[in-house]
Amino acid sequence: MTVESLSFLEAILASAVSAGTIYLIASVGECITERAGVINLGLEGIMAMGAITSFILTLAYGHLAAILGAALVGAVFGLLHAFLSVSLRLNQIVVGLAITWLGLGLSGFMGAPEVARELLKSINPAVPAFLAELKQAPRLPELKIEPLNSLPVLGRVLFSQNILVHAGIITALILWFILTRTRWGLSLRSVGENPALADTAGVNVFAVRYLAVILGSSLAGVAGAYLFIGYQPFWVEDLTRSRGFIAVSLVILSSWSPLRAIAAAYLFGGVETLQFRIPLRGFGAETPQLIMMLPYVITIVTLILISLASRGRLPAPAALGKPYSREE
Amino acid sequence: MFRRSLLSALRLPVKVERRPEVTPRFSIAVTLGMLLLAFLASGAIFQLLGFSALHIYRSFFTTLLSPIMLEEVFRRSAPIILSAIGLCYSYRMGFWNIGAEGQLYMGMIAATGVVVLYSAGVGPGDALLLPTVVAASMLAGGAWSLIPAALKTKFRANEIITTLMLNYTAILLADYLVHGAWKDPAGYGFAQTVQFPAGARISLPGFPDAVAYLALTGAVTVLTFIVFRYTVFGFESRIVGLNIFASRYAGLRINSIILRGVLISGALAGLAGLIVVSGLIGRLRPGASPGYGYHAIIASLLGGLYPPAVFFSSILFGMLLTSGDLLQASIQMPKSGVEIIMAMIFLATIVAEFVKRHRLRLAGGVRGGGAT
Amino acid sequence: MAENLLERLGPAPPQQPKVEMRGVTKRFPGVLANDNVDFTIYAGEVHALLGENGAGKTTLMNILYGIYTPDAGVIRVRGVPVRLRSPRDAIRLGIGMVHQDFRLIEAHTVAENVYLNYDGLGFIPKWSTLESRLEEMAASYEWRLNPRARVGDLSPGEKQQVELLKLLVRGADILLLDEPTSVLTPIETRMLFKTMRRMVEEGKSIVLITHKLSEALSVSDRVTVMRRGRVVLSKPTKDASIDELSTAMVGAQITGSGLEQGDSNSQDKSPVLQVINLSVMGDEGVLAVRDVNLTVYQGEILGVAGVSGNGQIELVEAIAGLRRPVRGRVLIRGADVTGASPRRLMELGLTYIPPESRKWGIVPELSLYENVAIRVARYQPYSRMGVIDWSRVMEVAERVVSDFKVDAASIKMRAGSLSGGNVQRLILGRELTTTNPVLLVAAYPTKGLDIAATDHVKKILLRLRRENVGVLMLSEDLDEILELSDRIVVMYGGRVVGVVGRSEATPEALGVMMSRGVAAGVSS
Repeated sequence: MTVESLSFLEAILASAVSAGTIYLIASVGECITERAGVINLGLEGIMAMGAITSFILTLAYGHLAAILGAALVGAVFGLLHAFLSVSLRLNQIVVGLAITWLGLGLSGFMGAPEVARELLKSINPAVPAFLAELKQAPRLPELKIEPLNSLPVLGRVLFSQNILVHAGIITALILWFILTRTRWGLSLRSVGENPALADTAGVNVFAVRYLAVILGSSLAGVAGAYLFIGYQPFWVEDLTRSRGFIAVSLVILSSWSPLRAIAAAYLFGGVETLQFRIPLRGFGAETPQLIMMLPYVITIVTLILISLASRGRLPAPAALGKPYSREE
Repeated sequence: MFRRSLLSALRLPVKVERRPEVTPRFSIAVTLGMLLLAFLASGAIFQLLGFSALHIYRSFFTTLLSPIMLEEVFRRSAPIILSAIGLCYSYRMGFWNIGAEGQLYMGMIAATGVVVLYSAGVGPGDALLLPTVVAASMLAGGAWSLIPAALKTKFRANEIITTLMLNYTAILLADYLVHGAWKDPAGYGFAQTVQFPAGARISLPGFPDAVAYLALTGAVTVLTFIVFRYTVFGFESRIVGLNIFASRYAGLRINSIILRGVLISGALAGLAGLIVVSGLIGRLRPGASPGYGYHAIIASLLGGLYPPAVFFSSILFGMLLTSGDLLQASIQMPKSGVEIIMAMIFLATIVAEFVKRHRLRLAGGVRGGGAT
Repeated sequence: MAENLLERLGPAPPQQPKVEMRGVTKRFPGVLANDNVDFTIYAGEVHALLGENGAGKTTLMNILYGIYTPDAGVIRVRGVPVRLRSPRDAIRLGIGMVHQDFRLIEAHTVAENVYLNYDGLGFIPKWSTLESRLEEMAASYEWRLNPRARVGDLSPGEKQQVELLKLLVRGADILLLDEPTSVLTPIETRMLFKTMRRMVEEGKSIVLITHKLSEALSVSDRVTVMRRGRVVLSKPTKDASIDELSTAMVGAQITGSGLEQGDSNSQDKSPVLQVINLSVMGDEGVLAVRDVNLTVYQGEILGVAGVSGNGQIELVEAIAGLRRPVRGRVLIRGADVTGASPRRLMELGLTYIPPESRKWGIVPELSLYENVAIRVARYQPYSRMGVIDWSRVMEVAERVVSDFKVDAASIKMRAGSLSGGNVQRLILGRELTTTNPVLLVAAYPTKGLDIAATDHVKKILLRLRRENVGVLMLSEDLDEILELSDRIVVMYGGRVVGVVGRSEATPEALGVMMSRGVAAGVSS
């Protein structure tokens, strides 16, 4: 392999990991939510809210505040989802769509220059408000981990990225451990498989589902923050471009395992990267739209392949999407 | 930690029980009440973000006051009505078609394709132009909707995901065409196609477009009402949506019913696309639809999948879009402001479902009227 | 069956009973399920609680397990009066129950199922320790159970062992087993009985809830018989005779039912249904029906007897076109209809009464008349050119409601608000009023009905038989099968293990075939 092609491979892999982190953080959270039996289609809107929150808070107080703020906003949206879907037992699909709508509308509104300016002014008057009108914020710095970053390939792919990339992997590993190895994980999985049985065994089904939805939603908020400050720090409306929905379908691809979600997310990060790499090589340089279709088309193709591979028997949690009510 | 003793306060503090029978009058009252709440809640949000709620309410109702505004309301409602009525066919069967937007775009693309050919001197003659664009837009919308329907019946692929993905694909396809092959050479480099000729537009001679659209959408609404209430297809599609086991037992051709229903959904969304591209804008360009196909989702749910109600709730969305334009011009309110109101209406719609079906019983056994 | 009956004299009951139930009464709407019942459990005994379906056995044990609260009566556990508000109260007192339907999570491993929310579980459970503890415990009862196996992959017998382990690790020493053999193979049954004996030797107490006399005789130390909510007999098993117990169970000697059946000479008549070498896959991916052959003639009722879960439902679903057979053929009046759609079968004259009527038979959200329409809306005269004639549908609906005595205020009422019996009458009424069957396949048509409704259904079946319709009927009630059928087919393990004419059939012979899968002396 020539030096040139090696560095090209490195570049591809590094940007696949970088783009994949958006999907990773969101779909790991959704894994947990769905393992508790709730499907959260609000991811798309919550990611958008996370992104706009991180935009304004980065300008106001810096990156840490932005990430925490995005997580908090995600949690609030998760609380709303849980109230509607767990307590009121409304159709989870419709609830998710409504949350997405609210998130997209609100974030679009907050991102408009005149609104963003006012928001920034009221959150931190010390910062010049016109910064918000520029629609940009400083990117998360790269964290060069010495001396690992001088490793061939891995050095650039894994150890010269920003901190949320590592946080994503670590979160996935921790959540996988909790889900499969701890008492909490066992309770949570039981709630997703058979809430009535978990209830008679003394597990608080409602609390577990609330926590799972809120955790998944706050991770979606962080994923949105990463999308903006870690990946593409320039605000446009519809910044998320269905990535939240793709993250939901990646949960199916990773068969509800946070561990496999890492691979699935980076795979889609790779697809996303190709969108930008292919035009550079000539094809679609002027009209990139056909190449931009790739993630959407590949998502559909993936669903078909999963269906063929599993012969229509997906390992989905048995109670996924079903509201639980004690009276029945 | 997950013991019941802790955190048990998360369950509702009062006893909620199912309401045995829901009368239509009560159901309408609840929906209207929740709509009012949605307006109040979005007003509060706007006030918080620095816009006058009163001003916003006022501009919403001015859309009904002048004939010009009213005409605009009906023009903009037309694609929403068609798509929303179409979606009723899908939702009745439990097919979560989120893809009206993409189907609408495919309708726009197909109609534009015919017009591009026509302008180049190929394709249909003047007399056949309108029937051809109508057929092309409906076929294209229908064909686009058949993809998720087939994937669902054949591979059990989740239709929510597939329809959403196909929306983006269709929007990007339209973008690709207007930036490339279909770009109007006389368009000063703008990414847009040639203008639609008068012969390719839906109109009633002597009347404004709004009237023609009202007639068309009204007819589609009435027809759908009849299909749902009086035809075997309408009845059977409802059974498929309610109980798939009973449907199999009763010998219904489930896949064929689903394919037919979704096809109608897509065809109507495609027709909506024709109205957008021929009447509202006059040509295809990027972002031609501000999300009519998405607005239709809420409109059909708000109307409870009951065609006459869906018709009126779609007009509500036409009002919202029109007043959104007004507000943008008058107080520079960002366009997505109306999206917030729509989201609140959406939330109100689904909470209304709960309120309709339940009533509260307090610990003392006293019955409350609703549950909010 | 009772070979070691005399060899085994249970240990003498010690003075203080472990559980004492006195004067327990439980009323459900319209039914007195338990009427002033006394029941005692001693240490080191298997106590058989015997009775027919609906005698009140399960209700009594559900009370002891904290699922129901009694309307009256006292419960003492180890001499102390207790109030049981939930199963967890019962478990704390060492009382555990294994239900007829397993309460397990299929996706989880054996160990995960056993230790779900177990008190001694650390935050990070040491699964290897727990698993080897389970392995030991299983080995002590000579079970071959892998604690790491997924429960969904286990056989019914193994699942039952998991249920038992759930109770044992929580220290339960009073075990209530509800019809534990209904899903077991004969070998598994023998193993279970062996385990039960070993457990009582360790000082545990077991209540065996059963409707099978033979089981009570072969494994128990004491037997209590219930009938219609009351205890009618209670004594040491060694002092009880078969005659005495069976009389106690069914009351007076079984007399004529009062339903005139009339003769049938099916031999002269032509077959309406032929099932040839039929094999059908079950939901679990194993064959549920294996190589079944049977024939239903015009004007006869063929009863299918068998313990539930032996392939009966899969058999009728395959006949009704709801399940595609793996092998074999189904003929209706000589025409091959294997794998035909429910619609085509219906048009050929098959009428099917589904089990679980609320799931399969009705759409609860729709009105009664709309529910009448679901099977027939597409046919004339209920619709013409795709347009439904609702007034005609309503006319028929009114007829169904009045002819079949569906208790409904109006045909515009939601079907979901009907009681179980009325749903069943609605379905029967709809099917028999709107279709003209040559073959009726009825899966448990009287299940869950009260006496009046049951009688009504039986009369309908006999009327159809007189009208020369062929009837294939599933029933869990042996008496009902004996009463109505011209011939009886017994299914066991997915196979037909015997075909008996009504005159030669006795409950004992059928019972043996149902529980052991052998045709005891009766050839097919």
